[in-house]
Amino acid sequence: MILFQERFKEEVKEYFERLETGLLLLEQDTENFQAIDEIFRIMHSMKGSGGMFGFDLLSDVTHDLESLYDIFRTKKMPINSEVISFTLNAIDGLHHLLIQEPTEEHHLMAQKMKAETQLLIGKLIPSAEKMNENDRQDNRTTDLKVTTDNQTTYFISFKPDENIFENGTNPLYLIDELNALGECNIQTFFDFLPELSKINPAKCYTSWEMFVATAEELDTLHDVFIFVGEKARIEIEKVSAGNMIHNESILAGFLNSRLNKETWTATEQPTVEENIEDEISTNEEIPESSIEINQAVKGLKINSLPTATVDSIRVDSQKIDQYMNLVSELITAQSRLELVSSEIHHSDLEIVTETLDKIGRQLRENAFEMSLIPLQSIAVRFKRLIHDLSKTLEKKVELVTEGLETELDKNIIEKLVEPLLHIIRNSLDHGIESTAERIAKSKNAVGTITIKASTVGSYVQIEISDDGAGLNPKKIRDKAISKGLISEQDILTENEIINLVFEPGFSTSELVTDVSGRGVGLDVVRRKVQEMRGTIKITSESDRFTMFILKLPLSLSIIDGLLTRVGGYYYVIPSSGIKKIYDVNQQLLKNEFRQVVELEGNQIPYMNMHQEFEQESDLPENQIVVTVSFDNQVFGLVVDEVIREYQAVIKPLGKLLNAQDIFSGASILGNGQLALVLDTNKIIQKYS
Amino acid sequence: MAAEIIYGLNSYFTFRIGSELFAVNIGNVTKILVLQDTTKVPNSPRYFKGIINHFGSVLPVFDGRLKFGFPEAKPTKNTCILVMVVEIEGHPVNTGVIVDSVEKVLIFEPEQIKPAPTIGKGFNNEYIFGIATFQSEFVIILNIDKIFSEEEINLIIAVE
Repeated sequence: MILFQERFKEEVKEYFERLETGLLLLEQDTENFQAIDEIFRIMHSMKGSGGMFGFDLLSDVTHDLESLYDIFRTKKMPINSEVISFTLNAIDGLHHLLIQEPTEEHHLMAQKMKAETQLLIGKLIPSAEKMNENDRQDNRTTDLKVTTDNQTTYFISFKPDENIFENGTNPLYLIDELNALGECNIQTFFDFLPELSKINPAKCYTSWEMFVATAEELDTLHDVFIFVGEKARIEIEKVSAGNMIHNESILAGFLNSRLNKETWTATEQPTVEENIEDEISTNEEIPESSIEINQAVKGLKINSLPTATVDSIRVDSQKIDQYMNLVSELITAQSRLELVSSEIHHSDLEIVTETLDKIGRQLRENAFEMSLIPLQSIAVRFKRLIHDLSKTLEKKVELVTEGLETELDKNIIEKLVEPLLHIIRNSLDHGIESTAERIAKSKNAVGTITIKASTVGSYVQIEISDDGAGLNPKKIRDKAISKGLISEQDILTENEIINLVFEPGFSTSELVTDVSGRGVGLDVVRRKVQEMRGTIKITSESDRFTMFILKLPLSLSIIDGLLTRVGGYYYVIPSSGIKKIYDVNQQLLKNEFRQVVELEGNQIPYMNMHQEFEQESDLPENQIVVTVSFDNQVFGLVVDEVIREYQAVIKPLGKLLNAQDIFSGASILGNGQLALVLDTNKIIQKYS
Repeated sequence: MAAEIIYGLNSYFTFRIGSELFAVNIGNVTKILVLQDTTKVPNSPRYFKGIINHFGSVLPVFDGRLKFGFPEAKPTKNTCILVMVVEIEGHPVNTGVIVDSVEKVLIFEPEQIKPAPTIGKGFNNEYIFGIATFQSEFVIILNIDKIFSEEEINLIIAVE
């Protein structure tokens, strides 16, 4: 049960997210009835399953919210932004109610939320109390109305074999199952019932005929009987499109034609008007119990309808992490095997090793893809933030997104949320001007924040821009001087100046606002991005725009690299940055003035890793230059030897070595030794 | 290899560096490893020996002799790496220290531990948690978290 509850919690979190998505859609278009329906359905599901798993408070509050949305769904009143904001807040509140053992405080909170909801309902519809009483009734009729559109009415004749009980089948369960698929009209036949004295209780004498109105496919109906097999005679026929359960003339017509063995042509287009009328008038005749089952089940099922992705399964993210770890271990073990194989020189072993290498590579790629998720998955949080903040700050802001389908490692996405939200918060607070100011500048009164993502090589680039006031280099310079970040004499380009905002202890806003002045600055954002081996830059033009450009690696844990040797130690250079490899003679590297080497006619700055890392030993006569690039800059890394290509599982260096920023980690070699992995971007920034 | 500090024990693990007998609370000790080759990290202070592969993760290894101001010496068959858990920025972190030999586990009640003398010679007494005696020999109980505190990490940066 605990497992189910955990599952449910996960599910509810997803519901919350979908609710938010729906609400934000509504925000833009209050006439979006599809969204209202979706919201209503999710609330309904949440209420139902919440109660089932013992989250009573959640269920209770959701019930009232559901009633609220019933008003909009039945078009009694149009929805307005006040209600949308209210609901968004209520969802935040519901987060806290997602607990099983509520305290007094939680009860109070739930009561307060309920009271507020009731108040809102009362405001919208003066006769709300009455409506609440009839709540259930209303729901029922409306539920039918909404879902009839994609339904089909089928006729099913189910004549079980006498001996059906023998294999443990209970026909009533099958009927229940059908009932769960949609609305049913069931007739029971006792034609085969013998005299009382002849009845064998182990045999089945009953048969059924029923009409089912369902949105499911014909196959689903057949599947219900899948385990009955030859133990029954089953006929399923399509009667009509739409829900005709209450249209007696059609049902009677069908039965007649069946009796007379005529072929029945299913009506494709039901007359909606008649349909609804019929529903309402015949509602009372349907046994209450059947409807309740119907409704509850519908509530549970419906959430899968709009995004029915049958080809994907839900996997615990911890399992993916575990899988990634195992693949990493495998690759480490495999490089060990490679080493052993190269020492033994046995042709069979070499073949196996090679095959394993190939499979390992594929497995790694596969594991890697599995842990990628689209940026889209966190987009709701941006939208939500912009919605809430634009209300608080009384600025009108529109969010434009592009390329959010770009995928990134799930661990990166998780770590990315805070920095991105912080940047957006900044753009809204400091970037976008107030409406009056914008009009005065003859800009569009509504500000725009654009989030654009794309894959560039082995990096993902995310640009967040606003069309606000832009950064003022002069102001930043003055500020940086007053904060002691730079001195008066420092000559900096405009670009260098605006990037000073990332320095610790810098904050441009003169007033500390509630929004972005929370003690953490852009320096934290930069640090977070750098922790992921990413970079962040800012460009801006006064009164036109400010743009943050983030570059992030696709993955954190495994990379393709080049294994090199410097002195007695090994280093891995990530392949993503490598351009070319050159053999060089010491003569070529000798340069009296500047640390540059001429390659193919270009002067390339370089770092001789041997000189830098191995102060004691002499330089070998011939060395190798590996050129790497970053941001149009080409830089040479001089090593003693290039061993081979190498798949490196990057292990973090740990807290004690945080300061070693030119290394992004270490990788375990086949012999158990460690090789340091170079962070080429950092090296370029540091040495060129 | 998860790192975890066990608090509240009054057993102390003793080891020798040079002529001195040192001790750390047993709750900080995770493992004793045979001396192995380390991978050096360029531009580190001399007392930072390098890193080793420790069950699939990276373990930083310090040279105890250099760290505590003793002259460098050739390893003997008793030289080993003592793996300890220290708290850095609130997180327990595994750290290796090369020591000349490991001795035994001793129990000291709090009242047996005397505060560090204010005038010590040789090294900073901030690193000393207290002094106890065992068989008429002084045992220096180390304040291990202090030794690997943030200032020390900064030292690594400073040398770069």
